Amino acid sequence: MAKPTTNEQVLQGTLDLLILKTLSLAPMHGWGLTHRIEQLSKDALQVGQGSIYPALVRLEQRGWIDTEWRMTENSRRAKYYRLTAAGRRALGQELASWNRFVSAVGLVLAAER
Amino acid sequence: MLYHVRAALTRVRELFRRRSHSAADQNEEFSFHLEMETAENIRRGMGDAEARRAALLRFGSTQRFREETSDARGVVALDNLARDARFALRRLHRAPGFAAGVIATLGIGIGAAVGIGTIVYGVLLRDLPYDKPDRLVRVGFVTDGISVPGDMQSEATYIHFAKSARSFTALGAYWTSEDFNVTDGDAPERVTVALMTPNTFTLLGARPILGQLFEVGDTSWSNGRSAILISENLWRRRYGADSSIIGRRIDINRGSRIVMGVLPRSFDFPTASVDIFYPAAVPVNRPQITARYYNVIGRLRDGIEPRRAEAELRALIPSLAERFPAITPDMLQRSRARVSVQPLKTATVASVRAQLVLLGLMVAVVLLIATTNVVNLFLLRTERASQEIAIALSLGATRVALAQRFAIEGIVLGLASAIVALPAAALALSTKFGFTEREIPRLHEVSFTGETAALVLECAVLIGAAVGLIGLTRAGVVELFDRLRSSRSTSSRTWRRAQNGLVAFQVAIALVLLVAAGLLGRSFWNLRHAKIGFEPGNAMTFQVSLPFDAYSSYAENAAFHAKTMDRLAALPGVTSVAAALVLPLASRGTPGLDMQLQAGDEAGRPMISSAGNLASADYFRVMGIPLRAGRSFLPGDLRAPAAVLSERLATTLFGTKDVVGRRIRRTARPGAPPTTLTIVGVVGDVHWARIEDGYVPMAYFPLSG
Repeated sequence: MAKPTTNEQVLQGTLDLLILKTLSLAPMHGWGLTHRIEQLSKDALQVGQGSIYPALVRLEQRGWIDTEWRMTENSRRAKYYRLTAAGRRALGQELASWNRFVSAVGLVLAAER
Repeated sequence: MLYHVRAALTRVRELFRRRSHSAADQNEEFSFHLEMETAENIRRGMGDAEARRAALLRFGSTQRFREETSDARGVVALDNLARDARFALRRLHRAPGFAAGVIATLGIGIGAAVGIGTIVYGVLLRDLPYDKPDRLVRVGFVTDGISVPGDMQSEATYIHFAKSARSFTALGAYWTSEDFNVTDGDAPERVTVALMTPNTFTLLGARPILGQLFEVGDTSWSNGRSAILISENLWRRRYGADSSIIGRRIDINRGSRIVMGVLPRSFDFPTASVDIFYPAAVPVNRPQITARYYNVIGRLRDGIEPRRAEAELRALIPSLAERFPAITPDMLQRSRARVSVQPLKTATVASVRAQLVLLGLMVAVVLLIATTNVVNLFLLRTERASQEIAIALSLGATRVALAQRFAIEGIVLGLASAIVALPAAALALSTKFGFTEREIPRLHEVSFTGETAALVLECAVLIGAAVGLIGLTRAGVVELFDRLRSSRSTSSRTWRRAQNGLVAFQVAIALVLLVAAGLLGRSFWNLRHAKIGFEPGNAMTFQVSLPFDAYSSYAENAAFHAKTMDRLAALPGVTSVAAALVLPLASRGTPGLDMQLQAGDEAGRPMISSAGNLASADYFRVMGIPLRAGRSFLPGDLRAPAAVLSERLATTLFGTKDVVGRRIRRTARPGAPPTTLTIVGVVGDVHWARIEDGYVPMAYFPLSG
């Protein structure tokens, strides 16, 4: 397989982008994160619950998020995720490239119609 | 392959076990997630059990994306495997034409390859089914200088080597005969008999399932025991597996023999069709090296290689003349006597080795072509699916995940093709294309087993996975944005070139196959149309052996033949009838008569070895052997006595074909009184033992009258 291109990495980061954005609103645990994304997208985006964890590990390895075991309001131990400073910067860049991509795709699709 | 899958699974499980302390964390996190999801489901109104199930289902089945760390990959691997398999089935269901094409092509390719491959392996490579088979050798005696074909031994050579050679723990001699009738009970039966020196059984490691083996010194002619061994086949077929058979007398060739033991089916020496074993003695009544009818096998001592054993025997050849003065050093030298020691397996399959190797190669090429075809189908399909692949990549599917998906799709198709391949292989191995162990030695040992089935599955899975992954390389070039920017032309061109390359490769190997098949066909045509010296068209043959004691005199034999031929000639549709001692190309190496001939009737002229045959008056006409000069046999020729020579023999003896009326002297064996015969006719030459071998000099003598 060929080496992934820059653009593709932007796309591959779609889930990452959603996670970063949601965590920028408030730290939360994995389950909360999936529900929050669904809620924010008015249930249009069904995030695979199991797939969110690999993505979280990946983001953590990049240093974009941080984890911490905390008690929930129901006094249950849960792993919470929080955006780091690097994560906040990354979110800015990801957002910019996403917007570039969306408009590029829009242009192409408009031309084809 | 199953082993590899199992190993992979073990590795995945290992991965789980060796995960760092974070594994515990991850478990806790996941169970927290499941609990929350279950609670949420209950809140939405599901029952407890249903809520839990729904949570698990969603958690598991949506594990779409792979983590890049090996830890996380281990977590999802097993789940993905099942999911990808289901996915592949759905996709294939939507493309039935593609699936059917792949399944048929791969199925037939793999079925044929495994079926024929199993035959080639079973005949050429697998160990012989005897004790320590790699120590067994065939010991041949070859005389290139005189016209005695093959590597069989005479009594003298066998006894000499058996007594003097140190390289072997034992040397055994045997020959087979089909002229035996079992006549006890209701129906007589013709059986194949092997006459073997008693030590042959022990040297092969034979173990009877009933009774016992011969003892050294037992012989078929010793009046003491007159014992035989019978095969398990005969025991079951004729005696209903009756265990009281041991010690019973059965009637063979009008004599009575005591059954001493029953040998199991697995003991198939010298061939699987042998039903009765006689203990053979090898008496040296007349030491010579020209008439040789004994097959000799030996077991090498530990540490002795065939080459060394051969060297030892070669050194023993001169001392043959010392042990048996009738065999002169001059005779040994003139006949260019030599020995050959080769592994028994090699000797057993020597006649078919080249053909089977060729067949194996051809079927491998067929499988290669089938696989290439399937690769092509996969490439086309991937091209159509490239949009889908691009989307999967954009949604974060890793290349490993994609590769797995494609490999699984290939494996699913491969396994489906096993549905065609298994019966195809089973059919090939059960019919064996109509061949028996008469044409291909050891063929009876080959059958469809669990191992064969496993091999089919392994091939199916391996080829399937490989084909799936090759299909994926197509996806690697199709980058998403090539597609979205409509700049497909570049990559398409690359791929068209690659595909063209594939087609060229396919055509090339198909051409090789075609040329090979063409050459084979041409050889076959050549054999069919070779000038063999006679016309087998419309001729029917059969063979009669008369029991010695009922037809002991020549007159009795002649009367029987005359009566038989008269009755046959009276049958409607029969135009003419003839009889002969042996038939060219039909008597499977039966040598006929062998004798020494000399031109003229005065003693002292040079003698030559010649093959001989007995023929009735109409023999040449029925066989379509052209009469070149003189006449065929007439009544009275036996007493005259008269002979008919083949052209080649006439030329060899007299240097001319114009020999009618001249005389020859025949010596049936060294030391016997010679007979003087008058040549009454000259006939065309025939091929004798094999079509490939060409014409042999041949002398004919009257069969009767």
